[in-house]
Amino acid sequence: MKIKKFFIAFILISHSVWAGENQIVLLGAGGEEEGKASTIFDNSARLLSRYYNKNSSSYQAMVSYNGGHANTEKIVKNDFNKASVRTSFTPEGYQKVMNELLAKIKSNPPKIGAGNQIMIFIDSHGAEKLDGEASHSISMAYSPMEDMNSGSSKKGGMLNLDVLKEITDLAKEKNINLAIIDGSCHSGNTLSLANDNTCVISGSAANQFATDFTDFLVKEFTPGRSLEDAFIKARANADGVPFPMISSPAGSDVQEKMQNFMPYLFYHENEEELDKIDKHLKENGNAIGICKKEMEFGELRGFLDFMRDFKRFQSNKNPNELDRLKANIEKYKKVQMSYLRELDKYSVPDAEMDRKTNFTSGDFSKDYTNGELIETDFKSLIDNAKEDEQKAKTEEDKNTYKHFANIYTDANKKKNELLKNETLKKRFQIYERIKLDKNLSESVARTISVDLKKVYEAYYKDQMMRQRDKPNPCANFKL
Amino acid sequence: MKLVATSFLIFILSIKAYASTPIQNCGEFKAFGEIIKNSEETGYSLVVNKNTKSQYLLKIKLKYELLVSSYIDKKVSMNFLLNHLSNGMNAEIDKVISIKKIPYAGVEISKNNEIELIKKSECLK
Repeated sequence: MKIKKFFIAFILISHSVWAGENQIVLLGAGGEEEGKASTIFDNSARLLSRYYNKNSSSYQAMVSYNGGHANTEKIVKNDFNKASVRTSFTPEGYQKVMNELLAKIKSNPPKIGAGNQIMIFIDSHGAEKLDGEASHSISMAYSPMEDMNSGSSKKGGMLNLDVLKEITDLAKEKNINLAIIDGSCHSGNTLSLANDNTCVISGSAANQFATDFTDFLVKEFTPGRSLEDAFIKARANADGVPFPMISSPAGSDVQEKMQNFMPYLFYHENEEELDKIDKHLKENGNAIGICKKEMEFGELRGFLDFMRDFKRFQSNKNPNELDRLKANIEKYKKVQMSYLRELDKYSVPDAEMDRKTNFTSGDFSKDYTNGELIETDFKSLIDNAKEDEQKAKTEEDKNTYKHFANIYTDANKKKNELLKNETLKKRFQIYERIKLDKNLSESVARTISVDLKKVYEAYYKDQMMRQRDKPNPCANFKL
Repeated sequence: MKLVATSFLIFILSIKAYASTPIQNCGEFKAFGEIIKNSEETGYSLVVNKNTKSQYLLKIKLKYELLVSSYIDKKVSMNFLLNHLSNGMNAEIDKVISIKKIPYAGVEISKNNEIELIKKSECLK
């Protein structure tokens, strides 16, 4: 009889130990242009589905992804066919997933409880952090993103990731291991959601665009490996300039130490509105900006000198990786500082630079910024219009070109008036040189990034040893 | 024999590398290129893949000339509408929807020489 009772008790205890679900939640693929079949988020969803399907005995899945792009939707339908919820990434779809997730945690007995794991995997377009946000916002479905920096979208569909605070608090309260992986642009901001039970991984730094780091990360998802180890492996393998981050104790330390390196990872993007280096130079081209940069550079140099004691950087290779990094950063700093000093010398309020002037000539009316007027070669346009007037075959076209020549002549007069302001003229000339300077291109930042990754890895591994007694949800999360 | 096979393979690959894809649809397009002055005809054109065997020459209608005039000889990204097909590599843009300057040096060229169909529509007769 005693044996029977013991056996029942053993079954019950072991059931309570093993009960509960591990959960994968896939969110994102919003903000893409309408009319396309595929999105740039297809690959990460496909890779995650492979991991999930191979380990579906260990995980349940819920998906709120995309909406309106046939191929991306097909991945959700076919590759996550075992998921308990599959919705588009609309506000309603997202809420459905979160309601179910919260219900599983709050149910009695809990379906997801102490010792269970939840992985929230986010891949979408991400905006810069706005005032009042702890993390940042990402694009939702059917809301093509118009401005990648501010995050404004045509239909206003953004999700502020601060809403995940409810789940991170619950994870801490119920001792659930939670991982939030955010592969979107500006995702470094999402690390603000980390706590003793929540590990956060980002695909980029806070003020940076992300590329495909999450693809590299998922490829390192090997059963039994910790999420932290997968991150370290993926970070070493990933190419490109983005600076992925992790909220582990070692990660928090190294990322704080390396904060001053960020301006040396900025470069020219192919759209003016997205450009980080351009913005950095314009914002810091003043006495305070210059002083701050010098101070930060001093700290950066001190950190690199400290790294010299690491075995990894004591090789006799010529040049040593650390020396090469230092030389490349010094070179890039010199380029940036020369522009900052020039911009400081020819200081003009931004409002004046971007001020629009309504230009009217006859029935033609257009708002030009001061920059557009100064940059346009109206003399050539006048010559071309006169030439086309001669070539035109109909009287109507001849008159149109004659009219154009008059408009360009008036616009040229306006331009010459503006150029009388010497400071404005000089400042625009500096802007033009910045735009054309190949020393501010991606290849410069990429070269720095290659060696910076090695410094990150060396310092990280050292800190991992030193900080092993601190709570580390990234090491506790087992794949 | 191996040499012949290799040469043939190189030949096939080189055809593929230089092959141009004619525009086969009407609709809204996005392209990266340069606004140039037409040398023979009047007006301006958007040229994509300039000076290559995959060059597209897309003439801009007179009524959009003032809109593009700030971008002459500059690299731009342009959204536009084509309502008619011609020989596939040359066409006339029916409507300039938006135009933006690509202002910076050092941007990968391959990214800036593309033409992409955004939304297909019926060609007009």
